[in-house]
Parts: sequence; structure tokens; C-alpha cells
Amino acid sequence: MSTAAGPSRGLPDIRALLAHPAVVDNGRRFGIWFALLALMVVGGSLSPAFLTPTYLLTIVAQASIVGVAAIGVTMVMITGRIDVSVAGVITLTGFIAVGIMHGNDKNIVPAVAAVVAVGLAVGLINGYLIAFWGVESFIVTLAMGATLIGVAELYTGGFTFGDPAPAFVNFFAWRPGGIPTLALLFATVAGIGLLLVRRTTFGQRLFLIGGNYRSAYLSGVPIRRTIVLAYAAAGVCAAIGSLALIGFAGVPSGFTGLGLEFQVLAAVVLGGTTFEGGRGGIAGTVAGVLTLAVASTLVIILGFPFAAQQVVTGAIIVAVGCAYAASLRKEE
Amino acid sequence: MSLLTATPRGAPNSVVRERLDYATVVRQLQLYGVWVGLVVLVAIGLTAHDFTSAGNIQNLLRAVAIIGIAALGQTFVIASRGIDLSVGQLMGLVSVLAVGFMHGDASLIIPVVCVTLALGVAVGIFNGVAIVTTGIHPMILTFGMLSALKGIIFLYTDRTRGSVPPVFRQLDLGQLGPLPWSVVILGVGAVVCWFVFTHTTFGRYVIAVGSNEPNARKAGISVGRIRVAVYAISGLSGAVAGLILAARLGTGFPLAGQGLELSAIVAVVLGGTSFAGGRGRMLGTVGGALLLVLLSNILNLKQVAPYVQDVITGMIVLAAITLYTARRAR
Repeated sequence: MSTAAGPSRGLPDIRALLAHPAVVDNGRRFGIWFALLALMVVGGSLSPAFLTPTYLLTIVAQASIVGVAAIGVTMVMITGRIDVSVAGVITLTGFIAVGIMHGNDKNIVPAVAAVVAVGLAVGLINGYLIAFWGVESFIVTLAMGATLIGVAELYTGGFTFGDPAPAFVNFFAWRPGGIPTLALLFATVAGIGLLLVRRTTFGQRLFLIGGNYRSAYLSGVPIRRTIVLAYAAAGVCAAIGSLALIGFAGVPSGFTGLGLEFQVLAAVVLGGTTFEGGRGGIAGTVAGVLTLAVASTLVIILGFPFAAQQVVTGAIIVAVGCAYAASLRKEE
Repeated sequence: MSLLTATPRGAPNSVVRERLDYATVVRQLQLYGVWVGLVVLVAIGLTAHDFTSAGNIQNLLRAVAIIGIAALGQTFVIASRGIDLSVGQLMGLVSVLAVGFMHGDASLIIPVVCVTLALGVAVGIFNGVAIVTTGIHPMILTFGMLSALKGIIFLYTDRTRGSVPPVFRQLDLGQLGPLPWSVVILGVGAVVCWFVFTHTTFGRYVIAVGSNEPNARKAGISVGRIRVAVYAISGLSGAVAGLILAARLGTGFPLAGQGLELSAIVAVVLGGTSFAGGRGRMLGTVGGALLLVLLSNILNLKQVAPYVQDVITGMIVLAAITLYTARRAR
């Protein structure tokens, strides 16, 4: 009897609790961490091996490609703009890296330098067109991504191409103290991103531009320069992501970058950075990246085919995106 | 010339006047540039061998039909300041399902067509309702839908599967006079969409919602319903395009819809529909689709290597889009 009365009496209270501003605010800020925690509990109950540090760190290493690229895209998206050229940058710079390395350890430094320079150049062009010409960021970066993939095909002639240097591959296969270097790379880039966004004037300007363009303009924020810098950061991060990809997979193929831009976007949005800008941050993005990675691992552990992973990813994006949007709307 | 001397509103100062004239030129270009581009491309095409052969023109028109039909629905969405990224994979899903269910049996054509069209509308309505009720950004929602649909396609089949009955292939191969049926469908669809968009209350409401949503709401327009309707239209046009894709391929290919949403979006924007909403050019969209198809056709006829084609297409789109959406930076 008492069990029947319980829910009916408790229900309004739960609703009131859920609508409480503190709950909504914290839910939005930390919700993705709870989702991550929940997924890990599910994973742990499915397989005892899941919660071992080795396995978890492998997931982090796997997620580092999307993760590193997502750090830069987060900065762009805080300003209320978008960058979908990431896949193009990763594909092109991946080929450039193995093309220059050509299986020789002596070529690692020039290869890395060239990759970062190309990423930077692409970011600067994107940023210039968007900040100074006022071109719609989605379309311009979309066309840029398509062009870069064309350039990559032109560069390789469509064949398997190049060879990563052995020392490069060994470095990324290394696990100092059990921690994969890819995970360390991700942590380092995320740490730098976090500092830039939270602790510098540049970071504050990103939020100002995204949150209130007009007041940013009136208070003398160098809007154009800041936007160009944000895109430059996104380009460099994508280039580093491609290095991580080669470290992880060995040889890039024409398809490796395909669709990555959307995984990156999904991770950033899951982390609470909105399309409208002015919100979110690097920490959320890290959580978003890990959540997506754990979710796809779980789908595989459950024995579903690879295609189901795609359905689950799509469903997560829709569900979490809708929940965020609904919580923001309530506030208005 | 009249284009350059358009009366500057309240601008006695010659500097301001120059700027206004520049803006006017850009605006005129946005509205009519696609037709100029088409003329230029046709002129270039005429120098290519076989460009005017009946076979090539038929081929061109058939390719335009698929992108064009999907782009018509997309025009409504973009004019209302939304975007539908899911339409390419929807086309893929519809074509794979249609072929798989029919499996060469002509008696199943009508039920399968009805079911797949309903599926397209259902996906569109889901998109619209989710966007309206939660306020999620349409790009993220329809991207989620894109991933989910892609997964569903591959859960259904990961290889080429089934075949269409010969009668169904007539959709692509059959002709009404000189025109393939698919082009007739595109033509009828374009006229209907143009009429609905420019001559009905619904069309006005779409523009109102796209240009200023709060004001549209204050004016008593039920914004939510309009939004759901535009995504439903996009879903329907995606399903029609998917069926034509099935007829054209003759079999179900899981990757058939890959990237088609981007072609559709680029066609819409090249056609003069503003990405910022509030302005749509239905016939421009058809022109935009024709422009994209012509470009790849000419590059093929000129025997440009496919990789170079990708670069050229990408750069032209980049330049065109930059020109189209550039506004004086604030």
C-alpha cells in the first residue's frame, strides 16, 4: 500500500526539484560527467575488464584523435562560429606527414613542422574569410574541408602512400608508467586549451564575442583578430590530431578523416558548448569526447555490429542535445 | 548599368554611396549570379566534344533531378533559417529499403512507394518536432539523425542488395517526350514549390519565420507548425529523390546517399536563398543544382582527373559561397 502511495506523492517533489535553478544549472554543467559515469558503471557491470586502468586508458588513447581536434573547435564554437573543415585538415596533413617522413626517423621534425604549418595556414584562411569578409562559417569551412580532401587526393594520386617513421610509431606505442603517450598528448593539449580559455584575455574575449557580440564590439574587443586566432588554434589542433591518428593507426588512407568533423562537433556539443556561442568550455568537451568513446566501446562490448554504433551515437547526440536545449529554453 | 546607379537611400555622401552600390551589386549577384554562372558554364561546355549530344544532355538532366528534388525541400528549410543535414542519408535509406522490399516484384511498387514516402515525411516530422519542442540547433539534431539513419542503412545491409522491377526503372529511363520522367517530376515539383513559396500564405509564413521569428510569433503565426511543416517537406522531397536514386542505380547501394545533403545545400545557397533565413529562391535552387551538375559534367568531358575535379569544384564553391554570403563585416 505504502509503495503505491509513495510515487504519487513523490512525483511532484521530483519535478520541483528538477526545475530548481541550481539543479538545472549544475545538471547542465556536470550532466555530461554523470552520463560518462553512468556509462562506465554499465560497462563495469557488463565486463570486469572494462574498469581496469589499462582498458580505460586505451579508450582515452583511441579518443585522443577526436579529442585533440575538438579542443580547437571548442574555442571557435565559444565565439558562436563553427569549423567543419577539421576532417579535411586531418586527411591532408596526415598524408603530408607520412609523405615527408617516408619511413625515415630523420624526417620526423620537418614532417611535424610542415603538418602544424599547414594546419595553421588553413585556420588562418578560414578565420580571415569569416572574420574580415563576414562569410557564413559553416559553408566556408565545409567547402574548405571538401577542397582539402581534393588536395589530399591530388597529392597522393589516390594510392596508399608514404610511410610513418619507425621512431614516430614507436613513440606513440610507448606507455610510460602504463599511460599511453596518446593519452598524455590529449591531456597536454586539453590542459593548454583549458588554460587559454579560462585564464587568458584571449579566452575571455571568446566568451564575450559569443555571448554578446554588440557589447564586445562596443567595449573595444579586437573581434576579428580573436576570431582569426580561434580558427588558427582549431587548425593547429586538427593538425596535431592527424599526428595522433598516424601514431594510432600507422598509415592514413583517404577515408580516415571522413566524418571526423561531425564526431568532433558531437563531442563539443555534448560537452555543453552551444552553436549560439558564449557558453561551454574545454572541460565539458573532454567529457563529451570520453562519453562518445565509451559509448561506442560499449556498443562493441555488447556484441552489436559496427553499424549499431552509428545509431547509438546519433541517438546520444539527439538525446543530450535536446536535453541541453530544453534546459536552456526553460531559463529564458 | 541601372544596377550600379540604384538610388542610394539617404546617402548624400559619396563614400557611403559607393558602399551602398557595392552592396547592391552583391545583392543582385546573389539573386541572378547562378544564371550568369550557368551561361558561362554552357559557353565553356560548348567547346567540349559531345557536350550537346542527346546522350550527354539526357545524362545531365537525370543527374540534376536527384539533387534538384532534394534541394527544393531544403530551400524551404533554409529559408525558414533551419538546415536539414539528414536528407542525404534519408535518400540512401529510402533507396535501399525500396529496392530491398520490391526485389524485382512489380506488384509491390505502389505499396513500397507509399511506405517510403511516409517514412520520409515521418523522419521530417520527427526532426521538426524535436527542434520545435526542445529548441535544439537544427544542425546538431539533423546531424544526429544523419548518423542514426546511416547506421540503420548499414544494419539493413552492408552490401549492394536487391534489384528494382524493370517497370520502376522507367522512372529514370522512361521519357515523356524528350524529357526523362525524373526530370518531369523535378519540373512539376519546382513549379509546385515555387507557387507554394511565393503565392500562398504558407510561403509568406516561412519567410516571416526565417527573417524574424519573435515578430512572426507576435504576428500570430504558429511558428512551431511552420517549422515542422518545412522539415516534413524536406523529408518528403528526400524520399522522392531517394526513389529516383533507386530507379537510377537499379539496386540498393548503402553509400548511395553519402554527401548528397551537402550538394543539395550548396545548390540552395548558390541559387540565392539566404543562409541567414528570410529569403528563398525556388527556381534559383534548380539553377544551383544544374550549375553543380554542369560543372562536374564539363570537367568529365574535358577529361580532368577526378582528384583535380574535387579541388576545382571545392574552390569554385568556396569562391562562390564567399561572394554570396560575404557581407560588410560589422
